[in-house]
Amino acid sequence: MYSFIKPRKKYSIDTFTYLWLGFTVIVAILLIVVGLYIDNKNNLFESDLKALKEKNLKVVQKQKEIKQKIKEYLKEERAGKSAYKINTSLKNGIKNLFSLVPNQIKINKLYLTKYKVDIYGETDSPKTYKLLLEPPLKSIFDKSKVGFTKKDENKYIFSSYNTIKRSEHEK
Amino acid sequence: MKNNFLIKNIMFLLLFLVVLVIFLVIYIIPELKEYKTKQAILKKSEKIYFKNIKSLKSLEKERDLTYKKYQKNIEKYNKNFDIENFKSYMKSILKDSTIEVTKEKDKLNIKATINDKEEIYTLLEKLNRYTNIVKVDFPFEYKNSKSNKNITFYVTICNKKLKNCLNK
Repeated sequence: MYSFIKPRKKYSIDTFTYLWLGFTVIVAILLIVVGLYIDNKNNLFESDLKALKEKNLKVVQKQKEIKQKIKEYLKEERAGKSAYKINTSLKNGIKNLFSLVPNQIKINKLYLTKYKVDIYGETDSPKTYKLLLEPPLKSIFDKSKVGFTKKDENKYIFSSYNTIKRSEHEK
Repeated sequence: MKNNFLIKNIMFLLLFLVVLVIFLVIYIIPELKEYKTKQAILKKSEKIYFKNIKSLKSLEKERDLTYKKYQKNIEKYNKNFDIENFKSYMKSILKDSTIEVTKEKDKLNIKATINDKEEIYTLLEKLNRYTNIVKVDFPFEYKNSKSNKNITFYVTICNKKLKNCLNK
């Protein structure tokens, strides 16, 4: 038998197999691409997370600094207030002390510490002191002691030592 | 012939499914799981970050308010202390009196000759108005002689550099 047409080439793999393999390879490539995309996203998340952590750390650090600053401000205010309180109470204390002294008594020296007031002065008689100055001093201080020495006929020198107890928290 | 074709088709389908399952199980699903975990962590971190930012802003506001409220003493505390300036200030208070300011360790000793007791009150009151925080320290001494009246006392300067007054 003789044929007038050329014989068709015979492939070891037919077209149908090619189609299946091609489809499988394309799907595999697509899956790899999707996988790479997700992987890339994951890496981006990681770098974002790292940057966010650094930013957060800075914010926390700044918070600490501000808290410290507020503490300092409050401390400084306390220092100012305490100084004002001490100065004012000393002024008022001295003012009150002088206001207690009657005309018959003359103050020569005052020695004030935080818990003690020593008053040195002159009086016409110990009785005057005991009548006019001792009662108010005794009402202010916890302890009040006095000693007299005669200077001349009508004058006595006195030394008065007055103390107040320390409050519990100051001990 | 037809049977052959069907068997071939089934085999290819199986091959395709095997490839698909292998890719999904080994590659895609773990990546997706990681994606979800990381996304959740990121969202949580973002939430914390924004919360911290909010708290930072309120702290900044609190700091500014505190400063505004206590500005006078804060400025006084942070101002450098100049002893010469203090001396001239003290002299300006007691114009007709003599005043001597000397440094003793971390305190200043003040000795003044005054004309009237009222000047003590003025002096102590004016100390509160000085540009630094000035705290009177004991002992305070007042002497009254025939010719004049003397006062001696100490002051502490509460200042950033000197760090006095605090914790006392």
